[in-house]
Amino acid sequence: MLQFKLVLLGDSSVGKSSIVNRFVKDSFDEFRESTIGAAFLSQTVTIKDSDANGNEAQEVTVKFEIWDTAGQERYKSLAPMYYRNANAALVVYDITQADSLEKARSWVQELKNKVDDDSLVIYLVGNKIDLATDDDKDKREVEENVAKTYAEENGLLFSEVSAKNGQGIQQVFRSIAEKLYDIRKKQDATNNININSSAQRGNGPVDIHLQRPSTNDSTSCCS
Amino acid sequence: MSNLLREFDPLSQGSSTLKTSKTNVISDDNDSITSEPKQTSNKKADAENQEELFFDFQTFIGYFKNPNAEPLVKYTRSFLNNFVTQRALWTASEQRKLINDFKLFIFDKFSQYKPFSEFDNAKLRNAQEGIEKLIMGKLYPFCFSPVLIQKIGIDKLDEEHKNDILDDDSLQMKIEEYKFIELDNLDVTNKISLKLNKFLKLAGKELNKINHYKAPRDKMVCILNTCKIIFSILRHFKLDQDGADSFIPLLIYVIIHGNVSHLISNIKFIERFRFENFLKSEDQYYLSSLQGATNFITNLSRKDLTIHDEEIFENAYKTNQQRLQKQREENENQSNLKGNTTDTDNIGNSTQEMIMNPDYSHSPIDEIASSMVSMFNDFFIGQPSSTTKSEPQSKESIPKNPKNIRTQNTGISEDMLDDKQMRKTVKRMEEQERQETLESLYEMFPDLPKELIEDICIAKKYRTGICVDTLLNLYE
Repeated sequence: MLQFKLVLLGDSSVGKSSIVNRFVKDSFDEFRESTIGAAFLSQTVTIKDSDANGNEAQEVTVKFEIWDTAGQERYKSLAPMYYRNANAALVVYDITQADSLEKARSWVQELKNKVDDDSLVIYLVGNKIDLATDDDKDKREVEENVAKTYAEENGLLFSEVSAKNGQGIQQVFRSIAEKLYDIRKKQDATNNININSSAQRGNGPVDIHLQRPSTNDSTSCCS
Repeated sequence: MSNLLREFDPLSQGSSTLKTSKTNVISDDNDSITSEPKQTSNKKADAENQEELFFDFQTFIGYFKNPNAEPLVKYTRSFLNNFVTQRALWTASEQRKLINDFKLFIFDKFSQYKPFSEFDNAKLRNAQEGIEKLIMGKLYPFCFSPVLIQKIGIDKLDEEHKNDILDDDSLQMKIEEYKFIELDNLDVTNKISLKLNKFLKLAGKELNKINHYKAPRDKMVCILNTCKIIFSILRHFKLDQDGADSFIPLLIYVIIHGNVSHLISNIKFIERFRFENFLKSEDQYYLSSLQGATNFITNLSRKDLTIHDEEIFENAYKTNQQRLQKQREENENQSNLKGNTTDTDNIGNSTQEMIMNPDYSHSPIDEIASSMVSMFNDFFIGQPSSTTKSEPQSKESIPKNPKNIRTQNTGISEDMLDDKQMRKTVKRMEEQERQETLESLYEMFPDLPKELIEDICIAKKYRTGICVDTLLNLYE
């Protein structure tokens, strides 16, 4: 089973935790794991993989480990602890609050500056579309087109959702899973070619050894 | 699966009561997470089937003593010996690599010797945990910075170990400076009332246990238990669904008020010496959160706090500064009386505190756990561990780490402890821990009858997190 780390970013009032709660609640899943509480959740999704010729769709299970972050401005400095080694980031804003998109933009910028990994998948989500229905359009402060254009320019995935009624939620995670799976497939293909060059990874720069442990060590009193 | 492997009691004496209670931990949690009964019952059955999986150090030692596994014992001996004899001091990165290499080596060897070669995955995991606990217990004085500094002295320490100590001190100083802050200074939503303090105290107590254990896993369990208590509080106030937004401020508050020594050194120790395959998912999340929270505190300044009333805050700050000043003067007087304090002078407060308080490094519970492996007491005979004894101590000072020395000196008497005696002692200690849990719960729930609290503790096998959960539900 493929496993990916997904970090959740966004202002505290945008409902980022609700998105994940909704996602987890609406999924049927045997592999759900969380023994402590709702800040860390894990959830699997199943996607279809078609081979290069487009036939024989095969089911692939992808497991997300979802790392929530504190959205309050003052805890911003904790975020790097959470997004290091992340495979994906879900950056959430609230379509009824214009400045929440500004916050989201600054998260995207920070991720682009601080995360080395080019393959990091960033998904921009506009939450709370349930508040701006056809009868009540005034509440919307961020036009879909504005966010969409910004996302396209910056190579982000994008959609609008409602954590409240579940609209679009499953699709967000499915798209991320598909994208990550795609990336992983490509990486595996390249790795197979350079298998020798990637063999030396291990424990970083320290190169030190003790003599091999043995069963007849003269310094050991009982051997 | 990894969650099923974890149990929430570092004592892990493997008694059947503990196992049942662990099953409770898992099923209770899943009840609260999913509303689908089918899944819940699946999970429950699953958890029961997995009972064998819970970590049990005694069982591991039993297998390890099996004559067929003798080469494994010899490898371990040989490794420990090399580790402590080849060099007086390894840097932290070197230690990390050496220890990790040995784990990989010995885990691989499991496949060659009975009974380990016949183990299924669950039992293998238990054995791997056992090895880690065994070697880290033995190498603790060489690897845990606050103990190492006493052997080596801060001037001779390598950068990494030294930084642990300095970071511990910076954190401690900030905690002292802002000890007076309240929950609302941290933006904790006002739905949470002030009576919360008592509950958070319990979480702090749990976090303090991190210094009672030597094994990276046991220390990790203390962190998870702390977070679990915080979440039961949040659940009670229906704030747990806010995830990290409500969790992080409480965690920070618990750290500031918990009075835990050497938190950074402990975090680094877990990071370095917990086998990387075990430090994943949820464990890693909560370890990172603790790390983030300690960084936040270390860099804390007034602008990071919500201050509703400048004047009140200013007064509290001043009062606290005066208290600190007084404390510093007292400390200075004390050290003047003691005469030369040599290398402790240039280290911060917490280090001095630590030296004054010899109980910091581990509790008797852990001593017992290590005496269970008395067969390994000969590891260090004639080895550098004896330098602790021969190292000249400044004449008027009490031995800086009496406990540590005792462990090494009393190898023989520990050897003579037979299993029966051991069990008795362990039982007595468990009893004491239970009593302490009870006392804290009485304090937290003064309005509930004591008998009721005790009944619930018995029913919930004294699992702090679940007991608090249940009692909170009754409380409303």
